Amino acid sequence: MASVHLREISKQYPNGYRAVKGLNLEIEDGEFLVLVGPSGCGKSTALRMIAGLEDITDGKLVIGERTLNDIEPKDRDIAMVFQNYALYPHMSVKDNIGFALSLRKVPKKEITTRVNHAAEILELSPVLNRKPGQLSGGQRQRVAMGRAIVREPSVFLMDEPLSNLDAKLRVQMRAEIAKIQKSLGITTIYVTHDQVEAMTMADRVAVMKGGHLQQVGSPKELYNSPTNAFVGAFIGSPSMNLFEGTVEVKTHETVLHLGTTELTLSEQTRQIYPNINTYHNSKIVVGFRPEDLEDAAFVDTSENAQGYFESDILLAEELGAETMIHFSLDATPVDVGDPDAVEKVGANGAAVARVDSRTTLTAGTRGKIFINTSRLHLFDASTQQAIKSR
Amino acid sequence: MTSPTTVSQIKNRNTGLWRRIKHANAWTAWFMLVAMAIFFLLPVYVLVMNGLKDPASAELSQMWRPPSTWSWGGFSEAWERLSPSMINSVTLVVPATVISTFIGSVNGYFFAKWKFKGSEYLLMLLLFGFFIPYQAVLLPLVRFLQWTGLYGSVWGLILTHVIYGLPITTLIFRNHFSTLPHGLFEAAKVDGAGPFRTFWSVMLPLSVPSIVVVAIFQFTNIWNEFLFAVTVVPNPEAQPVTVALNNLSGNFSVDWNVVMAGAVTAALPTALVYIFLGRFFVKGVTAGAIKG
Repeated sequence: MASVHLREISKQYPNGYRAVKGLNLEIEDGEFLVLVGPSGCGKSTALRMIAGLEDITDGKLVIGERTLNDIEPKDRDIAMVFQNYALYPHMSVKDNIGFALSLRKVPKKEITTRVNHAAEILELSPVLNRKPGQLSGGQRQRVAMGRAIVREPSVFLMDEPLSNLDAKLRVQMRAEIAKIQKSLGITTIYVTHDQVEAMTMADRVAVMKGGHLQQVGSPKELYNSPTNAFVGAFIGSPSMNLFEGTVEVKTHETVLHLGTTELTLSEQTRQIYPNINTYHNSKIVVGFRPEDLEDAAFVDTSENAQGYFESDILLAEELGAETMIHFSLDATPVDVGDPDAVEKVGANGAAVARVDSRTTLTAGTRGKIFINTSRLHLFDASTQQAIKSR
Repeated sequence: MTSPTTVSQIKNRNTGLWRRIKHANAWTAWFMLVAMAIFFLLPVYVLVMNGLKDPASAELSQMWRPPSTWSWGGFSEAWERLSPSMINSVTLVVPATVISTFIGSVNGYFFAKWKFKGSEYLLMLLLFGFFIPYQAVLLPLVRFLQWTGLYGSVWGLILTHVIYGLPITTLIFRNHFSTLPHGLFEAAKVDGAGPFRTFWSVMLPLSVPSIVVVAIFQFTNIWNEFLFAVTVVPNPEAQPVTVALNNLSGNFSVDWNVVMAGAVTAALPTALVYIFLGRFFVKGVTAGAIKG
């Protein structure tokens, strides 16, 4: 067990492409850190550099007390779970799990004990003598896990280990992996593009984009105070609505203009963003989460921290427990540069609200939607960084 | 009065025609295949029929006729005269096949999975070996073998065949190893296996079909090879069966039944190897390695 330190780690490929740019991360002993980001953000490359499968171009990798830049993967005391499992097809489950131990000349008896123990944890005991080809997808995933945990390494590295499972199994394994990690207490670095996985499993999440680290923090921190618009949009589902707005400082209050809508900033928001008044008459990026909006019919209007949009309802998606309302907004949507965003939130000037399922709003009608202005996220228009006390 | 043709009727007529064309195609294919089979089996027929004749009736003018009296004399004489050289062939072919297959697999593994600067050029140079005709190297080959003291021995011939086999065995194995999932290779690396251990414990067990292909190919080639055999090993007692078969036809008269029976006998081992090893031609050994 050990802490992991990445100091200014960079990766540049021979063709000049820089996949990771000056990555700094401190991962504590026993911590579950999730590296998350859209495809091509450098998260897998970072993990493979820690594993020793990619050379580190620049910077320093320290696990425990040892600098590992030029150490072979087999001498790094790490175990890895691959996205496609990479099980040895000609070996039985038992041999797959025990292979690393037999390479380390662990006595046969001890290998059997440890393999059986790992199989018990993973409920693989009945299939120990089968070949990977005879297993279901979920079982293969478990074998891949078993191969890692039997080693009792100082660090687990997991590269999108659940992305090949179907949705139901993924949710189940998500909880199981988190549970196993907690009980073993082994430092884990887990790569995924799925922010839900990141939020549910991690002690801390590190968000990457374009080779740069964007923000590290607990899931709550990332959700509540994203450092920039990208993190704001990336964490949370559906994504945060992001529109251009203009600040107007009046005598007793500060007002945001979102298209033709005017929102008065709550006292609380002005405390969180004390510098907001310096943006008088200039553009900023305004972010608000779908869950901070509500059908006006279900809101107690006596609360003060609220504004409202009155707009055309474009689409109502009924999910049972709640309804997603897409409504038009005449402000300019903001692109945060997520390469994976298929359906850009805010495209065609639409915003999304997560409202009470009893709503009567339907496509084609005009509706009134309330917004909790204490929960606004404000970003600088040019840097897209959160407006904080500067 | 005819009813108007509907769209569906036109479609049906078309599919009917299409079916007839496909049917005709199937028959044509059948006819072609049977014709080809006969074409390829005719020499075998001639070999076996004439091998079973007595010496008097085995002559060119009657080569198409089945024997009037069946005789095993041709086969027993052929066996008597060929069996020592058959043993020579086995002692030549088995080591040559095993060694060239093994070296080819190691070569292929490193060319596929441990690329280094210039490895592609090295592979290209190696593959030039394909294009050098046997005749072109005869003189330097003999000089080299004399210099190393291997001239005239079966080991000289083994060495020659191993080296001549390297381009093809390396190429087949390199292509095979390139298709194995790279993840397996990386998993072995993380598990703690070095290059050779990965090769031995992970890569080679997944290569049975390629090993079989290469082994059959090498076995057949080396068994049937004549020019190197007759050049490198001048001593008749050590010569392989291809040379001995050639010597069956005497200088003045030819015992056709013996020659034909000898040809069948000499060809049997390669056929057996194919039949036996062909069973290991299993597909899909990598099933389950990665998802899907």
